[in-house]
Amino acid sequence: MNIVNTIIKNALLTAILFSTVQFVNAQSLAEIIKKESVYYKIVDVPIPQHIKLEVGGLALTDDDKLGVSTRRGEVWVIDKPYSLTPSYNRYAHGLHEVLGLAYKDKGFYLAQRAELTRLEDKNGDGKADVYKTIYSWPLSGNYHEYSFGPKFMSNGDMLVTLNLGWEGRGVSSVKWRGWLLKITPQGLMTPIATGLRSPSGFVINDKDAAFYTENQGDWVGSGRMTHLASGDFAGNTAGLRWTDDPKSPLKLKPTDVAIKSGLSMYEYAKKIPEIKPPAVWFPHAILGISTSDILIDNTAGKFGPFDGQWFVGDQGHSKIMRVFMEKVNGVYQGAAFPFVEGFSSGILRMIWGKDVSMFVGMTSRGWSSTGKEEFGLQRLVWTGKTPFEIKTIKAQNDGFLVEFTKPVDKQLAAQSSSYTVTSFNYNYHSSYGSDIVDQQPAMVHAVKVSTDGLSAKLTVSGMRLGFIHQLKAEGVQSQMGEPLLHNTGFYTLNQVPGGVLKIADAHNMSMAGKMSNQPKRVNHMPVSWTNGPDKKFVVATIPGLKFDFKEIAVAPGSKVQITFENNDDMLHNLVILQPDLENADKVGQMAMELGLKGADLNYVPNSDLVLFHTGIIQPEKSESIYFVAPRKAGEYWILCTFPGHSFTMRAKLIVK
Amino acid sequence: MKYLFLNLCLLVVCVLMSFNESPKRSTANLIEKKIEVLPFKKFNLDGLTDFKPVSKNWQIVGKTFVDLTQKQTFVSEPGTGILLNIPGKGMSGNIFTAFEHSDIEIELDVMMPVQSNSGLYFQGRYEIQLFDSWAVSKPKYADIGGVYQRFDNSRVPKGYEGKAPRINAAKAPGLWQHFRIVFQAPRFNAEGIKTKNAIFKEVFLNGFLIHENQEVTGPTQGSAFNDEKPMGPFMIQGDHGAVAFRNIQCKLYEQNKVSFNSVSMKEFENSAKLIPDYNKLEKLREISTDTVSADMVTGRDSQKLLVFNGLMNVPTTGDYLFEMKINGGGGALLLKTDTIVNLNGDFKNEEPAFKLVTLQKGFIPFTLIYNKHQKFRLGFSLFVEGPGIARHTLHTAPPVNIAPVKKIDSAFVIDASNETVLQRGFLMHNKIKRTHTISVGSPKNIHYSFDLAFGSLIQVWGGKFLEVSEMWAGRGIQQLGVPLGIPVLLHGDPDFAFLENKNSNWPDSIPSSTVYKQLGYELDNYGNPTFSTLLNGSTITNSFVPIDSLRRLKRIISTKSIKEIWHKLADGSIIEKLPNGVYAIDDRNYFLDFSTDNNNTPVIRKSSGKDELLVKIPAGNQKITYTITW
Repeated sequence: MNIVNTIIKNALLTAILFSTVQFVNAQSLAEIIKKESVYYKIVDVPIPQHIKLEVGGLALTDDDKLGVSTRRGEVWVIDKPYSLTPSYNRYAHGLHEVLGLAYKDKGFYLAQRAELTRLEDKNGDGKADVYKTIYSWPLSGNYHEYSFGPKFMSNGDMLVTLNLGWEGRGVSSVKWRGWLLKITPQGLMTPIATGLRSPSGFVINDKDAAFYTENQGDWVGSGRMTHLASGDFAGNTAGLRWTDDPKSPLKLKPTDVAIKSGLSMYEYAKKIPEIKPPAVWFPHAILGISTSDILIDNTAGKFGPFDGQWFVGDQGHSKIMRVFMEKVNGVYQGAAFPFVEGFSSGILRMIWGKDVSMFVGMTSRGWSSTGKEEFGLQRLVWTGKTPFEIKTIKAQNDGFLVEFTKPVDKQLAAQSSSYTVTSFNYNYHSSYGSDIVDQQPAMVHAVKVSTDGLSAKLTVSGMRLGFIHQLKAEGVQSQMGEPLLHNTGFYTLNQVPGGVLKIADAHNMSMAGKMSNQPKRVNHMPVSWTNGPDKKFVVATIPGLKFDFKEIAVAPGSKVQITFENNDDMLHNLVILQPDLENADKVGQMAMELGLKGADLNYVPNSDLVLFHTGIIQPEKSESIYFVAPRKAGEYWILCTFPGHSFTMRAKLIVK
Repeated sequence: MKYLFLNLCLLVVCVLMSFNESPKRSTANLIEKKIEVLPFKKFNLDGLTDFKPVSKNWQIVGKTFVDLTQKQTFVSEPGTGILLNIPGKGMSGNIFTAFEHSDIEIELDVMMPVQSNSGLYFQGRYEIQLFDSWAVSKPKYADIGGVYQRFDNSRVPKGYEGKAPRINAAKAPGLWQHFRIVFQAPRFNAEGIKTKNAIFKEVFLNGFLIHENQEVTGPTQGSAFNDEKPMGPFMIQGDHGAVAFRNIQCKLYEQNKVSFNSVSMKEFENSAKLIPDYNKLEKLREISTDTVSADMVTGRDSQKLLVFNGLMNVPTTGDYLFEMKINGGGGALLLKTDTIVNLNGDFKNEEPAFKLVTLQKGFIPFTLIYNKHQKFRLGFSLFVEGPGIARHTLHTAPPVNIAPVKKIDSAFVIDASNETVLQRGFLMHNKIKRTHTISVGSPKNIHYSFDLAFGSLIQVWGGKFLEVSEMWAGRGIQQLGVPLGIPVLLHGDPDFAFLENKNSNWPDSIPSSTVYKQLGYELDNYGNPTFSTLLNGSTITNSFVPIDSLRRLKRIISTKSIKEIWHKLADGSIIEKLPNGVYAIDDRNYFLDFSTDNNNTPVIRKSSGKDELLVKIPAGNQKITYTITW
């Protein structure tokens, strides 16, 4: 209904916005799958006709059999799962929608709707005879209250996540829906974090840090992955109902969170410290629509060039994405890339097989998925060939360091025109999903390619903390002339090294030629002004891309000195134009369209509309200009024409 | 947005119904009982005045008791309320009602002794068989609830058109079994030629629909008449075996119907949840129509208001019961200017409105309003029942007249015929959804459900095991397992409790003073589970053994406790200890045989208006066994 409309609207808007940056791929899905399969092949695991293997959980046993739990309440143990003739044994049955599986101490642990259960086969007949309740939680009877897990921490405790119920919106009708819980094998439960909505996938890294994926929905602008520590609030307010329980590590209440703040999650988190912004966003419909399991590549290079990186599955789009995760100033963040598409059903679970292939367990009953099968079990196998991909994107305080899996063609990679960077955000509000908001292009000023050709440092201006940055390296080719298999990554910029964005010093900017002749820029007081200027102004900026003044007034024909002190952390200029709003918009637009030349021209277009201007001023620097005010009375515009700034950075020169 | 109000309401409802750490039952018994059908006419069983004169095998008694070890035997006590038949030498006549009937809706309780045989003959001609079919696994037409066969000596085969009930819904001999039958008499034209066969529209036995729209082409074997007529007396067979009846009540119907005439319809744009003053709105169109239906709306996904006006034909003066349902929207029915049914707001089909009004024969101006304010929802229905007028639709129903039989998809049936099978899932028990429940099916065709959160046996049934389309088809919105037989419901409260004294109220949920821990279950070599729970440090295990393939389930409880624990075996309207030591539960709904091996004796006590059967289990290591028969 409304939800469907929002989804369609978002998808269309996404398509329109990104088509300008050519994201809607000219290649068809079939073509992409074919290219990816050269490097990573999808192989079926045969399933007998009579078994509805709606995979909820996957776990390898001690003797290298594959345990599979299903939404039909069964646990199957598959012998020889890597072969063309695996044999299936039903180990357990009668459970209620199992959505996870772990193997430990010669038995299984699993989360079903109502509890965390331990299964053991005491008499060794291949069938479980112990169905022990480790911890049971209440249920309201709503079908949407799925329970996921467990996964093990290093000390033997387990984590489970609990989905919200659904009644037109996410609800937490009973404890502890919407929470991440820690449960010991003895059944002692500690609530860890809340704000979860549809937490179908989560992972515990080698530092015992937990990360979960979230699906676009109410309070959730797009799919994402969030690091959860004790006391964190991940965004959806339903679970906050239970924070008055003495065990709750946070006291935040649903009414503490504004339904519509008008801010991004990153910005709003500055007001409410419990909010944990995501580490990685997956832009909706571009990188999936319902993110699920997370699998860390700890294969030491046996699965290709992405050792240490994270694979994230998607149920709706039957594909796996790849994430490079880093920690900057103690905060997890990173880049997300497409990886492999074309799986047979909706992906829910991924684990490593003993042969370092990836088992992918799938189900899509109840929801549609790109892969049309109702359920499935496949393996993703590395063919041994290394794809030419963006390996990592690392945040710097003045741009991005991009690494590649193979040496690049240095000439092409060194051109800033080979790359485009755009940043955008999502609103944090109670309604379902969010449009892409506040999208702005950034400028790639310079590129320095490493001597081994495996990395390129992009100097970028226009980066914004708390925004998602799309980096497209369309012009890059490998030394052998291959284009990138996937040329786009999305970096969630929560932090930069040093904490503050700093634009590169002038000598790092690539100004290809000499400074152009700009007669309208006069930086020295004319000798004829023997008594000095008639009026002097010192101006600066205020946060939010604004001048610190609204207007200054001068007499017609008078001598004026304006000193612009750039107290901001970005580049600015100051340009005085002819009157009329139309002209202000026009000049701003012309400046944006200057392209590569912009930097050389200080982003001031060659136009009769421009009267006087400064150059581009570095942060902490200032510049003075001198001019004679126009004879004609009127309200003349003062703008900063640095791309993207002119919409808000405006003031008036009143001549009267 | 527009869902915000409804969602907030739902949220409020959910808040009110929310679980704490221990599950609670909702206070459904506090909700007023509303009239959903017109009252039945009860048979007077103080004497035999409602019947034509009968032979002496028929009598009125106060109590009947059946010994399961004796065939065809009743023991009775004097009194009133029960119609009893014990055929013997020279007295074996059938019994006929004094009235004759055409269409009839009848409900009654019947008790059969072991291996007995009788029958209900509608219009004295069309038989629904009564039989002791307790042990039968695949019922035939000659089993209880079957439409008996027709018989013709000249035919081959001689017997034909008998129809078996859909499932065997029989209970054990000596238990009251409940029938609900809706019968439509054959139709004749002005020349007296039959134009339509007699139809058993609905036959329910013990709550299960065993026949639907079953035609009978002529009188069945043993009929009192050879011909077919518009009217006939209701007859009960008396010569084949002993049988007892109570609580016989019926509604007789003529073929009148209430109808809408001279109907015109106005259509308006409307997205307001409450019905606006449409006289102020600009109408999109006004037409005269024969179709009073939601389908008259232009644009399935639009937001519209339909106002139907016309004359309602009331065939006879009397009480009429209207029922209106809206599939996501609002509506109202007015007669003249009185609002009869008010569904002004946002209502689902599950929230119908009922209204009883007295109407005079004739034509009454009516207004029917359908407020389709929800874009993606469509539909309203209006039903009426009147004096001698069977409940029927007033809205124009879709062309398919016969309701499609809900087919059971074998893909969603869990079969327990080969080995013991378990399945957790949500279960309905007395209209409340239970979430921590498991059902166990056995090849002996005896199955039960256990509530793990309460440690209680909540229902038993026989026949096929479980249907799970509500769990495994699509999203499985209800997540319900549905027994494929009529379950006998146990009390549903926690089975075990620490009582302060023998008069303390039995808790309807786990009290906060009790620390209850579910421990799960273990399977024996045959896959039979033993359930364990921990109550304040006392361990209780429960296991269940189906006995033979009769409907008998043995329960084995062992406790290990430092305190004495009470166990509630059963509750019901009446619990009696029968002469053979067996307890008859809930006015003979089922039997409970408390083994004499046990050291303790159960007590019957009255509490909150019903009887409870409790037993006190001493401290230490104890074992209790008993058998439930139904």
